[in-house]
Amino acid sequence: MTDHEHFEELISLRLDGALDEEGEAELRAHLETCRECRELLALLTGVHDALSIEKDPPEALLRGVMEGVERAEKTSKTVKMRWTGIAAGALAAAAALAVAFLPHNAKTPDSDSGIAAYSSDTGTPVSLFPDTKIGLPGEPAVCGSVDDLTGIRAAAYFRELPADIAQTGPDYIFANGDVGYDVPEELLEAHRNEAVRIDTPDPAGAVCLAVLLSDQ
Amino acid sequence: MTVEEELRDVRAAASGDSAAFERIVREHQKNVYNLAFKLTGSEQDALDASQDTFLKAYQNLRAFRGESRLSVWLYRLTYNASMDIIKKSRRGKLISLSSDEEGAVPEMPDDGPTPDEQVERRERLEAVREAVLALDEDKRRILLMREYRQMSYADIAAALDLEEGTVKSRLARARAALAEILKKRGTISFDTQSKRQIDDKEARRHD
Ligand SMILES: [Zn+2]
Repeated sequence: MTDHEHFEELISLRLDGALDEEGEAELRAHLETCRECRELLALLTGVHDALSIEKDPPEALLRGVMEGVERAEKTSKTVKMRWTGIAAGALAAAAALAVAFLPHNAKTPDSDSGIAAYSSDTGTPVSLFPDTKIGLPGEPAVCGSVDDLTGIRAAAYFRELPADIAQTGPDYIFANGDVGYDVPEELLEAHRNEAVRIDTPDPAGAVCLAVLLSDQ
Repeated sequence: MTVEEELRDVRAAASGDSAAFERIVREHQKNVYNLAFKLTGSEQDALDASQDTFLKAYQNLRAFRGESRLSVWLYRLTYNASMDIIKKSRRGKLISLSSDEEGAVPEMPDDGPTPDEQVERRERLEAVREAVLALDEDKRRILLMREYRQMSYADIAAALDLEEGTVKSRLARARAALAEILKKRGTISFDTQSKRQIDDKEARRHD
């Protein structure tokens, strides 16, 4: 260890209140003569002080989190109903349906993921729900969550819809990645700026595909 | 909260028990909020990052297997949420029309810091953060542990599987490297206040 490193260590220990008396005396004597170490101590003390804050979190934190949890619960219940219904519907019929009727200008989503999005930065497809195959026949009704919607402007969402199940209303995709249908009005209101409506171009058909343009 | 109690609450919250999740938030919100504040430098951003952290935690509770303490997991989420907000605000700064913010008078409790002090504090925290981010991985990690999370030498030693003596010397090296960066950039001066404090101490000693 060089001399310099030795005093750097004494300075560091002092900041943490871990310097013993002997070290303190040694450091103090050195500081009398060494301008460089005086400056280092001053600078690091400033950093240490700036980071020695301890604030009480505002009440809005817990309140906001619990409200968000409540919303998430409502949304995920909606989603579960939806996909359960479909899965229990006509599995055999759905399985036979091919991916077809895609609008000409839409990119075909990764057929395994069920839901895909295109990064607006790179144009490369990313799966929104990497671990789930939502909407594919026979898959149960668990909705995954999107890790990060940052930078995603357009998302394609498709599923095979059994012929005997009619689409009753639009689906919504939420910023947290949940997808829902028959979404209660108040829930939509609460997510006014982040819920994106999915319009299905072929509501009665075998394949529904929608390209979402979020306002992000 | 013991490890077992914590894990029980995590399991309960994962299956929809919001009271259990509320206990988790209450237990950890102070650490989460303070870390987010130190990283972002702003109370509003810290609040947003904290809420993002806990909501993301809630969505992913089932994925938490209890291999690490919940606090460590939450630390990672907080760090990521804060960095996301920092990235967004960097982007926002480029495109935002400044007229939006002009004329907005922030609400301030009487005894709170003045807007000037808030700006100064924010600039300091931002300068320190950017310098920390410029360090190599090892130095950055140990500084985040000590200065941002206030972990003890013993806890850092355990987390990094090092002797305490090694922790002390690595921390000293990391601090010196940080000081070097801050000095070179020279964006923010920490000297005045700290020198004053040291001079005060000297003065008292001579009394
Ligand atoms: Zn020296």
